[in-house]
Amino acid sequence: MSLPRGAQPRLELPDPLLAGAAFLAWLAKIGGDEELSVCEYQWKLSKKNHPTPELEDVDLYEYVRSLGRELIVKWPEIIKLTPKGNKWATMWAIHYGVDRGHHGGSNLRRY
Amino acid sequence: MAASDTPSGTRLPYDGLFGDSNLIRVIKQVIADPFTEYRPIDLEELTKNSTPTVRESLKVLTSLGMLIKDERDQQHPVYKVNTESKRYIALTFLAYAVLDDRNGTDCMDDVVADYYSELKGKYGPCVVGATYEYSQPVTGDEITYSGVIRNGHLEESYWIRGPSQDPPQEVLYTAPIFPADTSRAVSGYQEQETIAASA
Repeated sequence: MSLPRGAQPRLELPDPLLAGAAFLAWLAKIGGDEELSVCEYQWKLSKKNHPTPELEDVDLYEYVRSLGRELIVKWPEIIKLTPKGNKWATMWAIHYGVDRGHHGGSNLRRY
Repeated sequence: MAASDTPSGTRLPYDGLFGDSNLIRVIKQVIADPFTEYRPIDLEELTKNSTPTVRESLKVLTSLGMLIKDERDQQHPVYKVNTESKRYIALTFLAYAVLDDRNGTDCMDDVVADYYSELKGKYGPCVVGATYEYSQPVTGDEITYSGVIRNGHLEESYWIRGPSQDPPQEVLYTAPIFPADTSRAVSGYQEQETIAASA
């Protein structure tokens, strides 16, 4: 059934914030899971590319734990999005414009 | 271990669709994060490839137009993803498709819809509409018909008043259509207008 006129899909909380949404979009596109060391490297790149004051001093482990196991899980050496987490992460990535590189290169087109 | 898994337990690029070459590992990374200005060392860390293989992959992807080499610092060039490249866009969709096929989700649909929302100015009008009034020949009801194509959806509403409707009521139908169907929908309006004219 289609959404009513002008309606946007509802975004489910928690809000991963800009740098988090970019990191999660990367994790989804990389295949939904990745080795912890690679994730930590990418976490730093995402925070550098998408400065987000709330996440400036947050490390990856703390961030993943804050989102909840329903969406993302950390095994000893792997971080993995759950199927529900993939969908949630994609919706927020679209919201923040980080699902893909957009024309003009801005990732802040929604603001 | 599944065929699409690597020894470390994570998955092959695109679930093994293109094998597991050094090149496809670099492609997987640059598609997944098109915002980073990559130094070769970044890709060595992220793909676990050696320096020579990363440099070879960068050379190939630059020659294909998927990466743009920025040589302002000639000693330390950086590589940006060419987000205008159609191959980049198609592989982004593929990355989501792989996820969807594995999990039964519809993430790719959401991303494609978002992409289409950027293109709709090119492929179809955002809003096309028609309104007219006519009498229903059998019941004698007076009907105001309104049809609008809005962002790929056909919305039809009928405001009906007359002997068969007490109180008068409005009926609203909404159905998704594709741009290719626009002409059919418009000809549908014309057909109804013909009925109205003859009523």
